[in-house]
Amino acid sequence: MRHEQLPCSAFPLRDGQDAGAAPSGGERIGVEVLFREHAQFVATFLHRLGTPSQDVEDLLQEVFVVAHRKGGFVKGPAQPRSWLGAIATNVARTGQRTRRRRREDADSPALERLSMQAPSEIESLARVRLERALAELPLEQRAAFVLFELEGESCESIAAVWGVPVGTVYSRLHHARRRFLEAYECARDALSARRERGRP
Amino acid sequence: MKRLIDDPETVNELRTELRRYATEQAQVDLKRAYADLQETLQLKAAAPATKSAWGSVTASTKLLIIAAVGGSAALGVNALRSAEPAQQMHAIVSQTPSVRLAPPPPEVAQPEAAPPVQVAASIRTPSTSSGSRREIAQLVRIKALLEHDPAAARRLIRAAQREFPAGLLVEEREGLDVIALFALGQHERARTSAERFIARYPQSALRSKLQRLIADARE
Repeated sequence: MRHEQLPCSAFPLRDGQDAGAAPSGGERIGVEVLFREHAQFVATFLHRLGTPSQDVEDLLQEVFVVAHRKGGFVKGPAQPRSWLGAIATNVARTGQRTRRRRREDADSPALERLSMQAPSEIESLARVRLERALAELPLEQRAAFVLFELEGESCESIAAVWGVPVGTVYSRLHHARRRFLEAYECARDALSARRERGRP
Repeated sequence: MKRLIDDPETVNELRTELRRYATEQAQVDLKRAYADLQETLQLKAAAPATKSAWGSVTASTKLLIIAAVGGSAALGVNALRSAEPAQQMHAIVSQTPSVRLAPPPPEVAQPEAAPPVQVAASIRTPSTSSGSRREIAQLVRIKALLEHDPAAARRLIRAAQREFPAGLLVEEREGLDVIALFALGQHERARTSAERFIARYPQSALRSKLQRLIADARE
Protein backbone atom coordinates (compact mmCIF):
# COMPACT_ATOMS: atom_id res chain seq x y z
CA MET A 1 0.00 0.00 0.00
CA ARG A 2 1.02 3.60 -0.37
CA HIS A 3 2.03 5.54 2.71
CA GLU A 4 2.30 9.23 3.08
CA GLN A 5 5.86 10.46 2.84
CA LEU A 6 6.89 13.74 4.28
CA PRO A 7 8.62 16.27 2.07
CA CYS A 8 12.35 16.60 2.50
CA SER A 9 11.87 20.13 3.80
CA ALA A 10 10.01 18.73 6.82
CA PHE A 11 13.15 16.92 7.97
CA PRO A 12 16.20 18.83 6.87
CA LEU A 13 19.33 16.74 7.05
CA ARG A 14 22.14 18.03 9.13
CA ASP A 15 25.50 18.46 7.55
CA GLY A 16 27.33 15.20 7.33
CA GLN A 17 24.55 13.18 8.88
CA ASP A 18 22.79 10.27 7.27
CA ALA A 19 22.82 11.58 3.78
CA GLY A 20 21.49 8.24 2.62
CA ALA A 21 24.80 6.67 1.74
CA ALA A 22 27.37 4.92 3.83
CA PRO A 23 30.81 6.49 3.74
CA SER A 24 32.30 3.27 2.48
CA GLY A 25 30.08 1.89 -0.24
CA GLY A 26 26.98 3.95 -0.80
CA GLU A 27 24.87 0.87 -0.10
CA ARG A 28 23.52 2.02 3.21
CA ILE A 29 20.42 4.10 3.96
CA GLY A 30 20.76 6.29 7.05
CA VAL A 31 18.14 6.59 9.75
CA GLU A 32 17.02 10.09 8.80
CA VAL A 33 16.20 9.04 5.27
CA LEU A 34 14.54 5.89 6.59
CA PHE A 35 12.44 7.98 8.95
CA ARG A 36 11.44 10.44 6.25
CA GLU A 37 10.36 7.72 3.87
CA HIS A 38 9.02 5.03 6.16
CA ALA A 39 7.97 6.52 9.53
CA GLN A 40 4.32 6.53 8.53
CA PHE A 41 4.59 2.90 7.46
CA VAL A 42 6.24 1.93 10.76
CA ALA A 43 3.61 3.75 12.84
CA THR A 44 0.79 2.05 10.95
CA PHE A 45 2.55 -1.32 11.13
CA LEU A 46 2.97 -0.96 14.91
CA HIS A 47 -0.72 -0.19 15.20
CA ARG A 48 -1.59 -3.24 13.15
CA LEU A 49 0.53 -5.38 15.44
CA GLY A 50 -1.81 -4.33 18.24
CA THR A 51 0.18 -1.51 19.82
CA PRO A 52 -2.16 0.83 21.73
CA SER A 53 -2.41 4.33 20.24
CA GLN A 54 -0.76 5.98 23.21
CA ASP A 55 2.33 3.80 22.79
CA VAL A 56 2.76 4.03 19.04
CA GLU A 57 4.87 7.18 19.06
CA ASP A 58 7.21 5.83 21.75
CA LEU A 59 7.67 2.56 19.93
CA LEU A 60 8.11 4.38 16.64
CA GLN A 61 11.03 6.19 18.19
CA GLU A 62 12.50 2.98 19.56
CA VAL A 63 12.34 1.34 16.14
CA PHE A 64 14.43 4.12 14.62
CA VAL A 65 16.86 4.18 17.55
CA VAL A 66 17.46 0.48 16.96
CA ALA A 67 17.78 1.14 13.22
CA HIS A 68 20.36 3.82 14.04
CA ARG A 69 22.29 1.45 16.31
CA LYS A 70 22.39 -1.09 13.52
CA GLY A 71 23.97 1.54 11.32
CA GLY A 72 20.99 1.98 9.03
CA PHE A 73 19.63 -0.26 6.31
CA VAL A 74 22.09 -2.07 4.08
CA LYS A 75 20.73 -2.60 0.59
CA GLY A 76 20.38 -6.26 -0.35
CA PRO A 77 17.71 -8.84 -1.07
CA ALA A 78 15.43 -7.40 1.62
CA GLN A 79 13.43 -4.21 1.24
CA PRO A 80 13.72 -1.45 3.87
CA ARG A 81 10.12 -1.94 5.00
CA SER A 82 10.61 -5.65 5.64
CA TRP A 83 13.70 -4.76 7.67
CA LEU A 84 11.97 -2.03 9.65
CA GLY A 85 9.00 -4.36 10.06
CA ALA A 86 11.24 -6.98 11.68
CA ILE A 87 12.68 -4.37 14.07
CA ALA A 88 9.17 -3.11 14.83
CA THR A 89 8.03 -6.66 15.59
CA ASN A 90 10.80 -7.08 18.15
CA VAL A 91 10.10 -3.68 19.67
CA ALA A 92 6.37 -4.46 19.81
CA ARG A 93 7.10 -7.76 21.54
CA THR A 94 9.02 -5.96 24.27
CA GLY A 95 6.22 -3.39 24.49
CA GLN A 96 3.64 -6.12 24.99
CA ARG A 97 5.65 -7.60 27.86
CA THR A 98 6.00 -4.18 29.48
CA ARG A 99 2.31 -3.45 29.18
CA ARG A 100 1.43 -6.83 30.65
CA ARG A 101 3.72 -6.12 33.59
CA ARG A 102 2.24 -2.68 34.12
CA ARG A 103 -1.28 -4.04 34.07
CA GLU A 104 -0.32 -6.63 36.65
CA ASP A 105 1.34 -3.92 38.72
CA ALA A 106 -1.69 -1.68 38.48
CA ASP A 107 -4.01 -4.55 39.38
CA SER A 108 -6.71 -3.06 37.24
CA PRO A 109 -8.78 -4.69 34.51
CA ALA A 110 -9.45 -1.32 32.90
CA LEU A 111 -7.48 -2.02 29.75
CA GLU A 112 -9.13 -5.39 29.28
CA ARG A 113 -12.52 -3.74 29.67
CA LEU A 114 -11.56 -1.18 27.11
CA SER A 115 -10.49 -3.73 24.54
CA MET A 116 -13.71 -5.66 24.95
CA GLN A 117 -16.12 -2.76 24.91
CA ALA A 118 -18.66 -2.52 22.14
CA PRO A 119 -17.58 -0.43 19.18
CA SER A 120 -18.73 3.13 19.25
CA GLU A 121 -20.94 4.51 16.53
CA ILE A 122 -18.08 6.15 14.72
CA GLU A 123 -16.01 3.01 14.57
CA SER A 124 -16.20 0.99 11.45
CA LEU A 125 -17.50 -2.48 12.07
CA ALA A 126 -15.32 -3.70 9.26
CA ARG A 127 -12.19 -2.37 10.96
CA VAL A 128 -13.21 -3.91 14.26
CA ARG A 129 -13.78 -7.26 12.57
CA LEU A 130 -10.38 -7.16 10.92
CA GLU A 131 -8.53 -6.05 14.01
CA ARG A 132 -10.20 -8.68 16.17
CA ALA A 133 -9.21 -11.32 13.67
CA LEU A 134 -5.64 -9.99 13.54
CA ALA A 135 -5.52 -10.05 17.33
CA GLU A 136 -6.01 -13.81 17.24
CA LEU A 137 -2.68 -14.32 15.49
CA PRO A 138 0.59 -14.87 17.37
CA LEU A 139 2.88 -11.89 16.90
CA GLU A 140 5.19 -13.44 14.29
CA GLN A 141 2.28 -14.67 12.18
CA ARG A 142 0.57 -11.33 12.56
CA ALA A 143 3.70 -9.50 11.42
CA ALA A 144 4.08 -11.76 8.38
CA PHE A 145 0.40 -11.43 7.52
CA VAL A 146 0.42 -7.63 7.76
CA LEU A 147 3.65 -7.28 5.81
CA PHE A 148 2.49 -9.55 3.00
CA GLU A 149 -1.26 -9.09 2.84
CA LEU A 150 -1.61 -5.41 3.72
CA GLU A 151 1.76 -3.87 2.92
CA GLY A 152 2.51 -5.94 -0.16
CA GLU A 153 6.03 -6.92 0.86
CA SER A 154 7.30 -9.94 -1.04
CA CYS A 155 7.88 -13.29 0.63
CA GLU A 156 11.48 -13.18 -0.60
CA SER A 157 12.08 -9.87 1.16
CA ILE A 158 10.50 -11.09 4.40
CA ALA A 159 12.54 -14.31 4.24
CA ALA A 160 15.76 -12.36 3.72
CA VAL A 161 15.14 -10.22 6.80
CA TRP A 162 14.15 -13.13 8.99
CA GLY A 163 16.99 -15.25 7.71
CA VAL A 164 14.72 -18.18 6.82
CA PRO A 165 14.00 -20.01 3.56
CA VAL A 166 11.15 -18.50 1.58
CA GLY A 167 9.24 -21.76 2.09
CA THR A 168 9.15 -21.02 5.82
CA VAL A 169 7.53 -17.67 5.11
CA TYR A 170 4.94 -19.36 2.87
CA SER A 171 4.23 -21.80 5.68
CA ARG A 172 3.83 -19.07 8.30
CA LEU A 173 1.60 -17.10 5.98
CA HIS A 174 -0.48 -20.18 5.27
CA HIS A 175 -1.06 -20.78 8.99
CA ALA A 176 -1.64 -17.09 9.63
CA ARG A 177 -4.17 -16.85 6.83
CA ARG A 178 -6.13 -19.89 7.98
CA ARG A 179 -6.25 -18.61 11.54
CA PHE A 180 -7.17 -15.12 10.41
CA LEU A 181 -10.04 -16.33 8.22
CA GLU A 182 -11.47 -18.43 11.05
CA ALA A 183 -11.24 -15.53 13.46
CA TYR A 184 -12.70 -13.15 10.90
CA GLU A 185 -15.76 -15.36 10.49
CA CYS A 186 -16.23 -15.55 14.25
CA ALA A 187 -15.82 -11.81 14.67
CA ARG A 188 -18.26 -11.14 11.86
CA ASP A 189 -20.90 -13.42 13.36
CA ALA A 190 -20.43 -12.01 16.85
CA LEU A 191 -20.63 -8.40 15.74
CA SER A 192 -23.61 -9.05 13.49
CA ALA A 193 -25.44 -10.70 16.38
CA ARG A 194 -24.62 -7.79 18.66
CA ARG A 195 -25.81 -5.30 16.08
CA GLU A 196 -29.06 -7.21 15.68
CA ARG A 197 -29.62 -7.20 19.43
CA GLY A 198 -28.87 -3.50 19.63
CA ARG A 199 -31.57 -2.55 17.17
CA PRO A 200 -34.67 -1.00 18.73
CA MET B 1 1.44 -16.86 -3.56
CA LYS B 2 -1.42 -14.40 -4.14
CA ARG B 3 -2.48 -11.83 -1.59
CA LEU B 4 -6.04 -12.17 -0.30
CA ILE B 5 -6.68 -8.70 -1.68
CA ASP B 6 -5.76 -9.87 -5.19
CA ASP B 7 -7.16 -13.37 -5.06
CA PRO B 8 -10.50 -13.64 -6.91
CA GLU B 9 -11.39 -16.57 -4.66
CA THR B 10 -11.47 -14.30 -1.60
CA VAL B 11 -14.97 -13.42 -0.49
CA ASN B 12 -15.86 -10.02 -1.95
CA GLU B 13 -16.78 -8.47 1.38
CA LEU B 14 -13.45 -9.43 2.95
CA ARG B 15 -11.48 -8.29 -0.07
CA THR B 16 -13.18 -4.89 0.01
CA GLU B 17 -12.58 -4.53 3.75
CA LEU B 18 -8.94 -5.51 3.44
CA ARG B 19 -8.40 -3.04 0.62
CA ARG B 20 -9.89 -0.23 2.62
CA TYR B 21 -8.00 -1.20 5.77
CA ALA B 22 -4.75 -1.33 3.82
CA THR B 23 -5.16 2.31 2.81
CA GLU B 24 -5.70 3.56 6.37
CA GLN B 25 -2.83 5.07 8.30
CA ALA B 26 -2.05 5.52 11.98
CA GLN B 27 -2.32 9.09 13.14
CA VAL B 28 0.95 10.26 14.63
CA ASP B 29 2.66 13.61 14.73
CA LEU B 30 5.65 12.68 12.63
CA LYS B 31 7.37 16.04 12.98
CA ARG B 32 7.27 15.81 16.74
CA ALA B 33 8.32 12.17 16.64
CA TYR B 34 11.24 13.17 14.46
CA ALA B 35 12.25 15.96 16.85
CA ASP B 36 12.12 13.52 19.77
CA LEU B 37 14.19 11.02 17.85
CA GLN B 38 16.78 13.66 17.14
CA GLU B 39 17.00 14.50 20.85
CA THR B 40 17.48 10.87 21.76
CA LEU B 41 20.10 10.28 19.10
CA GLN B 42 21.94 13.44 20.08
CA LEU B 43 22.05 12.24 23.68
CA LYS B 44 23.50 8.98 22.49
CA ALA B 45 25.66 10.43 19.78
CA ALA B 46 29.39 10.47 19.61
CA ALA B 47 31.13 13.72 20.41
CA PRO B 48 29.90 16.07 17.68
CA ALA B 49 32.02 15.93 14.58
CA THR B 50 29.94 18.47 12.70
CA LYS B 51 29.93 22.21 13.23
CA SER B 52 26.19 22.53 13.45
CA ALA B 53 24.58 25.00 15.80
CA TRP B 54 23.60 22.09 17.99
CA GLY B 55 27.19 21.05 18.37
CA SER B 56 28.11 24.30 20.09
CA VAL B 57 25.63 24.04 22.93
CA THR B 58 26.53 22.43 26.24
CA ALA B 59 25.31 19.09 27.47
CA SER B 60 23.22 20.74 30.15
CA THR B 61 21.60 23.02 27.60
CA LYS B 62 20.72 19.94 25.58
CA LEU B 63 19.06 18.48 28.63
CA LEU B 64 17.13 21.70 29.17
CA ILE B 65 15.95 21.51 25.60
CA ILE B 66 14.87 17.94 26.22
CA ALA B 67 13.08 19.13 29.34
CA ALA B 68 11.24 21.67 27.20
CA VAL B 69 10.47 19.14 24.50
CA GLY B 70 9.34 16.53 26.99
CA GLY B 71 7.95 19.01 29.49
CA SER B 72 4.36 17.94 29.32
CA ALA B 73 5.50 14.34 29.50
CA ALA B 74 7.38 15.03 32.70
CA LEU B 75 4.40 16.85 34.18
CA GLY B 76 2.17 13.99 33.14
CA VAL B 77 4.42 11.53 34.89
CA ASN B 78 4.44 13.54 38.08
CA ALA B 79 0.69 13.91 38.05
CA LEU B 80 0.23 10.23 37.48
CA ARG B 81 2.69 9.21 40.13
CA SER B 82 0.87 11.22 42.73
CA ALA B 83 -2.28 9.24 42.07
CA GLU B 84 -3.26 5.77 43.20
CA PRO B 85 -2.49 2.94 40.73
CA ALA B 86 -6.12 2.45 39.74
CA GLN B 87 -6.49 6.19 39.14
CA GLN B 88 -3.34 6.18 37.09
CA MET B 89 -4.69 3.43 34.90
CA HIS B 90 -8.00 5.25 34.62
CA ALA B 91 -6.17 8.39 33.55
CA ILE B 92 -4.32 6.45 30.88
CA VAL B 93 -7.39 4.60 29.67
CA SER B 94 -9.52 7.74 29.57
CA GLN B 95 -7.04 9.25 27.14
CA THR B 96 -7.12 6.29 24.82
CA PRO B 97 -8.76 7.26 21.55
CA SER B 98 -11.55 4.99 20.45
CA VAL B 99 -10.48 4.95 16.82
CA ARG B 100 -6.86 4.44 16.03
CA LEU B 101 -6.58 4.44 12.31
CA ALA B 102 -7.71 7.14 9.95
CA PRO B 103 -8.12 7.16 6.21
CA PRO B 104 -5.18 8.35 4.17
CA PRO B 105 -4.86 11.93 2.98
CA PRO B 106 -7.37 13.04 0.35
CA GLU B 107 -4.99 12.54 -2.54
CA VAL B 108 -4.96 8.77 -1.94
CA ALA B 109 -7.89 7.21 -3.79
CA GLN B 110 -10.12 4.92 -1.79
CA PRO B 111 -12.04 2.06 -3.29
CA GLU B 112 -15.26 3.21 -1.71
CA ALA B 113 -16.61 5.73 0.76
CA ALA B 114 -15.06 5.19 4.17
CA PRO B 115 -17.13 5.50 7.34
CA PRO B 116 -16.65 8.62 9.43
CA VAL B 117 -13.67 8.32 11.72
CA GLN B 118 -12.24 10.24 14.61
CA VAL B 119 -8.72 11.52 14.46
CA ALA B 120 -6.61 9.96 17.18
CA ALA B 121 -5.99 12.13 20.21
CA SER B 122 -2.65 13.78 20.71
CA ILE B 123 -0.11 11.45 22.23
CA ARG B 124 1.42 14.22 24.35
CA THR B 125 -1.12 13.76 27.14
CA PRO B 126 -0.96 11.97 30.50
CA SER B 127 -0.70 8.80 28.45
CA THR B 128 2.88 9.80 27.72
CA SER B 129 3.82 8.10 30.98
CA SER B 130 4.88 5.16 28.86
CA GLY B 131 8.21 4.17 27.43
CA SER B 132 10.95 6.40 26.30
CA ARG B 133 9.28 9.71 27.20
CA ARG B 134 9.16 8.65 30.82
CA GLU B 135 12.74 7.54 30.66
CA ILE B 136 13.80 10.89 29.18
CA ALA B 137 11.84 12.81 31.82
CA GLN B 138 13.59 10.77 34.49
CA LEU B 139 16.98 11.58 33.03
CA VAL B 140 16.15 15.28 33.16
CA ARG B 141 15.31 14.93 36.86
CA ILE B 142 18.56 13.07 37.48
CA LYS B 143 20.48 15.86 35.79
CA ALA B 144 18.70 18.49 37.88
CA LEU B 145 19.41 16.58 41.10
CA LEU B 146 23.04 16.20 40.15
CA GLU B 147 23.53 19.95 40.49
CA HIS B 148 22.72 20.11 44.19
CA ASP B 149 22.24 16.60 45.58
CA PRO B 150 24.46 14.04 43.85
CA ALA B 151 23.61 11.33 46.40
CA ALA B 152 19.92 11.68 45.58
CA ALA B 153 20.82 11.68 41.88
CA ARG B 154 22.59 8.36 42.34
CA ARG B 155 19.57 6.89 44.11
CA LEU B 156 17.35 7.97 41.23
CA ILE B 157 19.85 6.58 38.73
CA ARG B 158 19.75 3.20 40.47
CA ALA B 159 15.95 3.28 40.46
CA ALA B 160 15.92 4.20 36.78
CA GLN B 161 18.36 1.42 35.91
CA ARG B 162 16.07 -1.03 37.66
CA GLU B 163 13.02 0.35 35.87
CA PHE B 164 14.66 0.53 32.44
CA PRO B 165 17.36 -2.15 32.53
CA ALA B 166 17.38 -2.29 28.72
CA GLY B 167 16.23 1.28 28.17
CA LEU B 168 17.33 3.82 25.63
CA LEU B 169 19.41 5.82 28.10
CA VAL B 170 21.32 3.20 30.07
CA GLU B 171 24.62 4.60 28.86
CA GLU B 172 23.73 8.18 29.79
CA ARG B 173 22.66 7.14 33.29
CA GLU B 174 25.89 5.23 33.82
CA GLY B 175 27.85 8.32 32.76
CA LEU B 176 25.89 10.60 35.07
CA ASP B 177 26.44 8.12 37.89
CA VAL B 178 30.20 8.49 37.45
CA ILE B 179 29.86 12.29 37.44
CA ALA B 180 27.87 12.02 40.68
CA LEU B 181 30.72 10.02 42.22
CA PHE B 182 33.14 12.84 41.37
CA ALA B 183 30.70 15.36 42.84
CA LEU B 184 30.58 13.33 46.07
CA GLY B 185 34.37 13.50 46.31
CA GLN B 186 34.89 9.76 45.86
CA HIS B 187 37.70 10.45 43.45
CA GLU B 188 39.45 7.08 43.35
CA ARG B 189 36.26 5.14 42.83
CA ALA B 190 35.04 7.76 40.37
CA ARG B 191 38.26 7.61 38.37
CA THR B 192 38.12 3.81 38.07
CA SER B 193 34.46 3.97 37.09
CA ALA B 194 35.15 6.74 34.58
CA GLU B 195 37.92 4.76 32.90
CA ARG B 196 35.69 1.72 32.76
CA PHE B 197 32.87 3.83 31.29
CA ILE B 198 35.13 5.32 28.61
CA ALA B 199 36.43 1.87 27.69
CA ARG B 200 32.89 0.57 27.38
CA TYR B 201 31.46 3.60 25.55
CA PRO B 202 34.37 5.15 23.64
CA GLN B 203 31.95 7.17 21.47
CA SER B 204 30.00 8.63 24.40
CA ALA B 205 29.23 12.33 24.41
CA LEU B 206 30.23 12.33 28.10
CA ARG B 207 33.73 11.09 27.34
CA SER B 208 35.45 14.49 27.22
CA LYS B 209 33.72 15.67 30.38
CA LEU B 210 34.81 12.54 32.23
CA GLN B 211 38.36 12.90 30.96
CA ARG B 212 38.42 16.46 32.33
CA LEU B 213 37.10 15.24 35.68
CA ILE B 214 39.77 12.52 35.81
CA ALA B 215 42.45 15.11 35.09
CA ASP B 216 41.06 17.53 37.69
CA ALA B 217 40.97 14.77 40.30
CA ARG B 218 44.66 14.05 39.73
CA GLU B 219 45.67 17.65 40.39
